[in-house]
Amino acid sequence: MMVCGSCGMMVNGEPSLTCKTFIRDLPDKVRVEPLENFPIERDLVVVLDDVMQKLQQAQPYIIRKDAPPPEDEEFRQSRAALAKFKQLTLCINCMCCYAACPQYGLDNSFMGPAALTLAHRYNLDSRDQGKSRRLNILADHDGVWECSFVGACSEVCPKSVDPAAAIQQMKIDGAVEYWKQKLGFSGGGS
Amino acid sequence: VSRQPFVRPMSKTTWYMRNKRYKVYMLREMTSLLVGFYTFLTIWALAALSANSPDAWNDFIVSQQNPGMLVFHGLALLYFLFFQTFPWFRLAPKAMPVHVGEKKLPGAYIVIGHYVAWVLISAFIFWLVG
Repeated sequence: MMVCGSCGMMVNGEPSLTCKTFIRDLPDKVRVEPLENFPIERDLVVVLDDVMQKLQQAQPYIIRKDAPPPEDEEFRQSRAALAKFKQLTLCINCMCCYAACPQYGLDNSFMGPAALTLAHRYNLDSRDQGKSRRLNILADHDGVWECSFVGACSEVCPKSVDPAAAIQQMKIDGAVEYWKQKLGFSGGGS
Repeated sequence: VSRQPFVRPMSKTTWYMRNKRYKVYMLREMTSLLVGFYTFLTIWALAALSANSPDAWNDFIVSQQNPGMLVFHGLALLYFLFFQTFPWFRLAPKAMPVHVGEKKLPGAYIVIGHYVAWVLISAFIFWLVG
């Protein structure tokens, strides 16, 4: 259970992974609906094209400024460095966070919880050097600043990824990066 | 067959009635009205000070000392405590997690740190005011 992220639905108004939602835990009347905030294709199927595009905009891959290590070597990472972002790698793209987010519902130009969290996961990765490149997009109007910290995304997340926390950390990073660039020592880096 | 996805409309004015989470959020955001009121009060106080007459300042002080105003200030303080101070201090460890080696510092330490700082700063202000 809880590995593929394809069964996100509204169960009694709450974004849930239906594979881990049991009838015995619910009241007598159960109302199942397609995920909130997404266009409905048919029945319980929603259109996720918009979010798929946003996940790509987050540039979810390791960006290097320095040369990568030689072919026969690998990127080394300490356990402490991994611990900083491990929790954020648990996201299974079930999109429950988008269904819970009123900001995304009101204006879907907002990047949204999962995409921003994914970007933060790479920003925190000690092997990555693309933070300034990502923040140029994500610390913009449709990025982290559209989030007003309702916190619903973190409450419904079945994997306890805590997207709301990631976004607040990105706001701090974005502000620091902004002043770095403004004051002329934009190192970028990780 | 062309696709015609159905977009469910979301009310711009009543969306927060959808669930309890959104309602609590709106109660938190409504403190902005109080912030607006206290901004107005500060401007009024500054105007009274810059009028360069002791009477104007006294009028301002007296206006804030009537029972109705005191009750209002008390209630406003409670509202700020329950919808700003407590929730934001509780959320502080999320915005600024501290890692010590491989472990995350327990959130309680960060929360307690905030309360200690709050008490110290409040005590300092009380000491300043006398």
